[in-house]
Amino acid sequence: MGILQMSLSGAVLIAATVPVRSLAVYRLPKRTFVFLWGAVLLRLLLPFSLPPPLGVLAVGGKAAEVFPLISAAQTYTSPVRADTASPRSPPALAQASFAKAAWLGGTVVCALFFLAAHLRFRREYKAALPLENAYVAAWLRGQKLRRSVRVGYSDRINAPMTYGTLKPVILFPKTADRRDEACLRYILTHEMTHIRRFDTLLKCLLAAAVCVHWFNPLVWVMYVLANRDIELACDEAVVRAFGETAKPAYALALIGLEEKKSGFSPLCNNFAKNAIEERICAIMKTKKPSFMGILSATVLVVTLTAGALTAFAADGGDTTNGNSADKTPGVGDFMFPSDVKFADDMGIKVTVEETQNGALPRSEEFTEPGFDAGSAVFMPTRLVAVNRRDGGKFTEAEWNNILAGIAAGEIRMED
Amino acid sequence: MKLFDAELKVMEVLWEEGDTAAKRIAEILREKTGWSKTTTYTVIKRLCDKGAAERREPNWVCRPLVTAEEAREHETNELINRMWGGAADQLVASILGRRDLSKEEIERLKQIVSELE
Repeated sequence: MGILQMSLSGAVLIAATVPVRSLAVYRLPKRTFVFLWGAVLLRLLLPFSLPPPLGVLAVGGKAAEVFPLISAAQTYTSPVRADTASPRSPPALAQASFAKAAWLGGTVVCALFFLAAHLRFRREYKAALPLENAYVAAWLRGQKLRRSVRVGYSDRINAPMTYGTLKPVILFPKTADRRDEACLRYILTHEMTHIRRFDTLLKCLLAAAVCVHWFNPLVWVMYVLANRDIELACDEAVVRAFGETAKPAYALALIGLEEKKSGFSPLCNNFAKNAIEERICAIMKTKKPSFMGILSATVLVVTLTAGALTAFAADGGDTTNGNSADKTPGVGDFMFPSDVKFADDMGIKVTVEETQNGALPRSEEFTEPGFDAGSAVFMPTRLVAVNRRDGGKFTEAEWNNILAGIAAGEIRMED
Repeated sequence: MKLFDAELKVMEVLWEEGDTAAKRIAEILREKTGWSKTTTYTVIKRLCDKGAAERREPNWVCRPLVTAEEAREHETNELINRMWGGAADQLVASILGRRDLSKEEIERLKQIVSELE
């Protein structure tokens, strides 16, 4: 699947999740939304799609048509489909490579921005001092966790926070009152929930999605909402742990912390950063989830995850493949990204790569015949992804056949 | 000059030990705070940038350029300005009013006050 396709399917999922969230944010267990965002993340970040498992896709008839379940069992007859479609004109090619360069540039800029901010804050956090507090030490001993958690304090932060995935560290601001044991316990429980749920890692993935899909405004919306939902889910865990009577006290502690807000640090878990009002409301409205609530949450998550991984992917295969209906059914054919073209008058260095679900790709690189590398200022490179529709691996003979076909200009790209 | 807690930690080592190689500071602070070598070096660099300390070849020997007294004075001034609107006498009054001061401490404070009069 191409980036554009992943982005589009991701956008559809986000557009479906946002209204559910705004309608049910105070009603469903908060973790529901974290899981929903997780499903969206899978679609946004995994470039391949799983073959539809039995039954799941029976609802999406179109997808089932494109992906007949029997295809895997059929024999592989003709490895190469020689398309006679006319090659794209050079301006279209230039446009495609410009779009690609722009996307790559944006991704790099975004990634550098997140990385720079992260590294700057991390340097600050690393210089935090160990917090020696009998209550905190005793509390930590009572926690069952394989990873060892350190607790520190810093005069450079204004709100409690957690960083690190494998070696997590909880940091208190220097100004936090260490004698207020109730408040300490709320904060520790909240931060420990982040640690247990690997929220730092999740935030990294969210940032990665934003970097790759920077051109997609809905992905930014997801970034903001998912970060909020991560906090809401941890608040909810605190209320669960201490009972509903603790709600006002916890909400007040939160407001107290919010008075001294911290700066921007995208990859760490901040105790009090996002949309404080929503958090306070969510805390005060937290109730024991009803059976119906849990049921609808589960159905939501399962449906969306299954949809994210299969149905959209199948639709994607359909569009990339164009008019595949008229071909011999079940025969493995190749999916080419539509911005790739061969054998026009311009010489091209081609990298052919076999992509398979989960397996390491094998690739071959060669220059097209007639291309004089010596006279070229730079050599345009094309990456061609080929895969069998049935998810299997090409045999040696088929693979060589493909390479030979490309080298001879017999395989062309459809526009 | 405002020194943050982490920076003060390094300065404390320098005040106690005098000129110290960066490597030695890192060893001491690993014991005390669990910092990595990189973290200590980062803080040392920041101190040098601020002009609170300097590093010299060979061995990156660090030397404090600010004394403990100067650092304390700065902190005290800031405290007086922030909490007592610049009125140092009120700070002293507040300290004298504290219950957890021992008799000896109060005696010494009174002595200091009378010396200054």
